[in-house]
Amino acid sequence: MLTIADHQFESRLFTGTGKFANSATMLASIAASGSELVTLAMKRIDFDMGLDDLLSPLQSRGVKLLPNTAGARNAKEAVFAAELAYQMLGTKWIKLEIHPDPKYLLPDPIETLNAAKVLCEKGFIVLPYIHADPVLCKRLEDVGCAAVMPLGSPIGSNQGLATEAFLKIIIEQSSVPVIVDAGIGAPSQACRAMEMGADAVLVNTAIASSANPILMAQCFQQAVQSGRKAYKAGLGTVSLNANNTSPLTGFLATDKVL
Amino acid sequence: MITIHINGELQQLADNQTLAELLVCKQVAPQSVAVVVNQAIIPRSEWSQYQCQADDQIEFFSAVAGG
Repeated sequence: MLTIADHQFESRLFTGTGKFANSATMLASIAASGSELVTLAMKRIDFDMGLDDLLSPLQSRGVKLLPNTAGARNAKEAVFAAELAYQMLGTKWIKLEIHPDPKYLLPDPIETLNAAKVLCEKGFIVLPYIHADPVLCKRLEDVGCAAVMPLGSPIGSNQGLATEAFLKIIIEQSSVPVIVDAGIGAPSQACRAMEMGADAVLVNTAIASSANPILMAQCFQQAVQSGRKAYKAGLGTVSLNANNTSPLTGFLATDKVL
Repeated sequence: MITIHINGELQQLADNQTLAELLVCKQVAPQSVAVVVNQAIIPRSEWSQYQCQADDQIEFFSAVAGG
C-alpha cells in the first residue's frame, strides 16, 4: 500500500486524462489501468465548444483527482492555479508543474521550489513535477512536498527512463514517495522504474496514444505490479563476469578435454 | 444595462446581476467551475452576493483532460 500525505493507494499506477480520442475511451482506460489517482488540467471555458462534463464520471469511479498547474510560467501563476483548482474541485492536492518552454516542457526548478514553499505553507499537498535532480528533490522535501515527481524524459516523448542513473539516486535518498512522471513510453519502462524502487509511476501519453488504449492500460497495470513485486523480491547482483549456474566439474571429464 | 467581459468576450448584462445568476444564464454547472473577477478568485460562497459591475473582467475556468 502506498501512502501519500494521509491517503492510501492500492495501485501504484497513476494516470493522466489527456490526449484520449474521446471521454469514453479515457474512462474505460482508467478503469482498465486500476488507477486510483488521475491528473486534470484547467482552462478557461470556451462557450462555443460546449461543456464536456469530465468530472462526474471520474468522481463516480471514486478516483482521486490531482489537478495540475500546466500553463503556469512562474511561481506566482502556479500558486494562483493551485488556488483556482481548490475553488473548482475542493482538493488541496496539486501537481505543481511550471514549464515555460513549450518545445521541451522542461520544468523550471527555481520557480518550482519557490511555488512549492508557498503552497506547502498554505496547506496544499504538493506533488512537484521536476527534472531528475536529486539535490532539488531534497530541497522540495525540506519545504514540505508530499512526494516528488522526477521525469524519465520529456513529457509525451515516450523516450523512457533517460534519467535512470539520477532516478536511482533520488529513490535512494528520498524520504517522501518518488513518482516517476513523464516520458514513460512502454510497460517495460514502467516495470523498470518500479524494479528500481520507484513508489509509483504516472503514465498518460503511452496509454492514450496507443492504438488500443484500454488494452495498453491493462499492460501498464501488470507491468507496474510486476515491477513492484520484483523490487520487493530483490534483483540479483549485476556483474561483469559470468557466474555459472550449472556445475562445470564432475561430469564427463574432470581434468581434460575429450 | 452594463457591459462586462466574460472570458474575453463582451456581454451585456442587466443591472445588479450576480455571479450565481450569470452562471445559470451561461448554463455552466456550478459544481465544477472556478470564477475569477478582475484577476481575483471569487470563492463559491460569495457568488450569490457578488453583483457584476460595468467593465468587470470575468473568467470562468473548468477542469479539462490533462496529464
